[in-house]
This record gives sequence, C-alpha cells and structure tokens, in this order.
Amino acid sequence: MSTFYQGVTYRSDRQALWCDGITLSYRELDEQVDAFAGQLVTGHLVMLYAGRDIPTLVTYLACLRRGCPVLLVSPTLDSEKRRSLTDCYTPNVIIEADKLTQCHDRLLSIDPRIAVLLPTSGSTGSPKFVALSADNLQANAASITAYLPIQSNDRTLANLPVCYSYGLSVINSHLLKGATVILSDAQPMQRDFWDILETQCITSLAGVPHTYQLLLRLGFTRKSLPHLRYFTQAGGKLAVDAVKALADYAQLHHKAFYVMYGQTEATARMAYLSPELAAHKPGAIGKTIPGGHFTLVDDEGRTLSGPDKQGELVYHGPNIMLGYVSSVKDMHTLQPQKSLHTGDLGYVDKDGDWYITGRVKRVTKVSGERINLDDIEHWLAGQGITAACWGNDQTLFVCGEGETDAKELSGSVARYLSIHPSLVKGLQRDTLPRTDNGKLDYPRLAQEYGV
Amino acid sequence: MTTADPLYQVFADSLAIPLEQVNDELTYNTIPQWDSTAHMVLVAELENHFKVMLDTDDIIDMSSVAKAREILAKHGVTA
Repeated sequence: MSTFYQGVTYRSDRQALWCDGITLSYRELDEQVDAFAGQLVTGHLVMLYAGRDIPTLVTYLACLRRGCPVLLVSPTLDSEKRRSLTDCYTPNVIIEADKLTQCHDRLLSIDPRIAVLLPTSGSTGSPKFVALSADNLQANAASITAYLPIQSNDRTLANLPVCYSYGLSVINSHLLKGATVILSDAQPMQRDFWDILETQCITSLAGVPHTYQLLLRLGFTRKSLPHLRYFTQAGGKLAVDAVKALADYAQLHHKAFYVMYGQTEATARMAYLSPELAAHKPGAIGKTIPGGHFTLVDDEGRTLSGPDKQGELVYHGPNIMLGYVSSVKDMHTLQPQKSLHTGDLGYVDKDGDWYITGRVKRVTKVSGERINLDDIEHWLAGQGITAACWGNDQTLFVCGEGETDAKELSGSVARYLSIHPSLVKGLQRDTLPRTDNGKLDYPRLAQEYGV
Repeated sequence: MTTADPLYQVFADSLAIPLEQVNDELTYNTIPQWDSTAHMVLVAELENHFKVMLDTDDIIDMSSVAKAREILAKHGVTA
C-alpha cells in the first residue's frame, strides 16, 4: 500500500486541495512537494508554523518525503512563546507560510524514526511535544479509512488546527484516499463557514465538542445540508443531550454521526462509536479502530476482564507514539512503549462498547484544550500564590488562599491559558481545606462549590 | 463621549477587555479575546441586556460593534 505522503499516479488528476479559491490537483501537489523537498536536507529539524493553507501542506508533505523531522507549531503563538520554543529545539529551518528562515546547518542528533512532532497543548506554547513516526501516521490514517466511509470523491472541510492531531488525521486520511481537502479558517460563527459548506459541496465535517455546541446553537439541525454525508466528533466528551440531538438529526436526514475517541499520544484515533448506536448509547466511545485494542487495569496495574468493571483504559496498536520530548536533547533516542496508558477511566459493556467515566490524573479539558491542573497550581505558586485548581469540561475553578483577588486570579489564569475568562471561576478563602496528610482536599472543594 | 455607551460596556464585559479598547470598528477575530466562545457570551449578554432574541443570521452577521448596533436597531433597540 502506498503512503499518504508519497506521490502516486492513480489519483493525479483528482483535486487534492482547495484553499481560498485556489485548487491543486494531486499531480500539482506532488510537483510542488517534490520541488520543496529538494530544498530541504534530510535529517534537518524543521519548525513549521502550521496554518490552514496550501504552503503549510506542501511543507509538511515535503518534510515527510525528505525525512526531515517537523515540529508542527500553532501560528497563533506570540513572539515570546515562539522564541522559547526555538531556544528549546534549535531547529535548522523555521517556516511560516511562504517565509523560510535558515537558522543553522549543524546536523542535530535525532532519532531517525521521528517524523512529526505535535504539541501536547497548542495555545500555551508548552515545549512538551508528542513524537510520531511516519509508520504511526500511516497506520492511523489506514485504520481511519477502514472505518470512516471516506470516498475518493469526498470533499472534507479541514478547519481544525493542522498542528492538532485530530485536524492532521482528517488531512492524512483524506490524502490516503485521494479525496479533496478544503482548507479553511472558517468557523461556525462566521458566514464563510456556511457559505463554504454549500459552495464547496462539503461532504464531511469534523468538530470538537465546542464546535458542535456552536452548531447546535446556530440551528445546524434545522438545515438539510444535502451534500453532507457524515460528520465526526472527537477531542473530548460531548454532552449526552447534544450527542442525541445530532444523532437524531443524522438519522432523519440520512447522514451518519461518528462519536470518536483518541489522543495525540495515539497519533489521533483509538475508538469510534458505530453511527447507528449514537442515539442509543450517547455516552459511549464504541469499539477500538481496526488494528487496535483496549485492555483495562486497576490502580495496582492488574488486568481486569469482563464487562462493567472500572479501570484505566490501556491502548495497544501500531499508532502509539515514539514518546514525549521537551527539548532537542530528548530527541536523541526514544524508546516507544508497547502500550499506552490513556489516563482515562472507563469500562466496557456486554456488547463490547467502551465508556469513559473520568480521568486518573488531574487533567481537565476546557474549551477543547487539555489542561493539567497541577501545572496551573505550580505556575501560580511561582508567583507566590497558593491556590487549588479543579474543574470539569465546562469550568475551571481556581481558589486562592489568603490575600488574593478572586477576579484578578481568574483573569490571570485565563490569560495564561488563552481561554475566555467566563470559563474560569475565581474564588478566594482564608485557608484552603486540607486532608490529614496536608494535601489539598479537592473532593471537599468540589462539593462546596458545585463540581 | 463622556458617559459609557451601554453597547460598549456589554462588549467590554463580554470580551473581558478594557472599555477604552471598544469602538465601532472593533471586529470579530481581530483580537484574541473575541473568539467564538466570547462571541456566545456576547450574544447571551446582548440578549439579556437589551431584551431581544437574536437568530442564527443575527449571530453570524454580528462581526463588528457597528454591525451589532445595526442588528439591535433592526430589533427596535437604539444602542
């Protein structure tokens, strides 16, 4: 089987990309990628500010073809965060849109299996990246095309960030199928989004919970959208009533709605819920993708078997990352694990469909961003503020101890995380509740303040 | 203007930006604070403050402060 990033002739006359009125066939894309790959040096580390545009896709594919490990970075980062990432990784080349900056020619010591590096947190500019191999990307794209009904004449809207594993997986799987990728920044809140759905005859959509909350608020389920065949959701747990509303809409209009589950650590995808089950099992993530499987372990690491037992989901499959890196030094050699501890708690029902019930670690997702609660506490401690953080998918609670201003506290945390202040609830009290061994008593805080 | 324009105040509160940063030319997505999450907060605040119900087209078309004023006028609100 050919890989999604190599030039292949069978699809050459098909439309590969569309962006802002410009169309590129697979032949034209191949030519541009080869030409660009010719300018790169194998083994050089490339830092790519990944926009939803044709130059980004050409650079990304050229890096894969040439064997240049590429860091995909959010173009929304400010200059301070950019500088600290550059210092951390010392890339040979930095590329943004059409602008190429040559930094140095030294060959860095990098594990040759590393193909792509994706940020663990896009907007905060954290230096922690997930290192993936070309085999990881190819295996996951192949699994996705095996369960999603992607056809070569499909036109998908790629409006998620390219440096986000879900957004990148949409692109990879469609290139593998020889389908058309419509690159756009348009979001449901903009007229452009609805215009593109119609004028570009979009056949599939991909969105995170926030996307679908917006779509529902904007009357998505009242539109017939005749070109749209199916739509997918990943990137966190979507509220059960929203899943139901979307599943009912899909059924009524002969479309399919796929609820999916994944992590960047697994390249992107691990599980999906069969669309005919979405209305009946709106809280489920379904079955593992072809080529992967879950096992369940308890807190002592013992394997649990059988339905309805709670434990941590452990994933096995060819799409498990090479490892984490936080600087160029970490890239020297990686030792990939055979299994991936997802950090998610869940169980399997008697039909073999999986459910997620919570997190092992203190991590929450607000507005689609994975947030490590301990990191925020450490960051605040660095400024002399003792605080407790907890939360759910809707709200992040931050409670300062002693002389802190609750509003200032929530404002500074929101700015630090680049999220809307309404998602952060600031609180203050003279002393935080602690357990007998002196640890912050999160269950009590959650109970007192409602979650 | 000597007193705060009530529309400007709603924008400042919803987008969590200083009042001085709000003017008629302020446009969606041109400042990091006015993203889709903030837009939903803004819509709810406008509905609440001016006692109107905004439909899909209103929400999508509300791409600037001036546009918001226009849409509110359509609903019979002088802001």
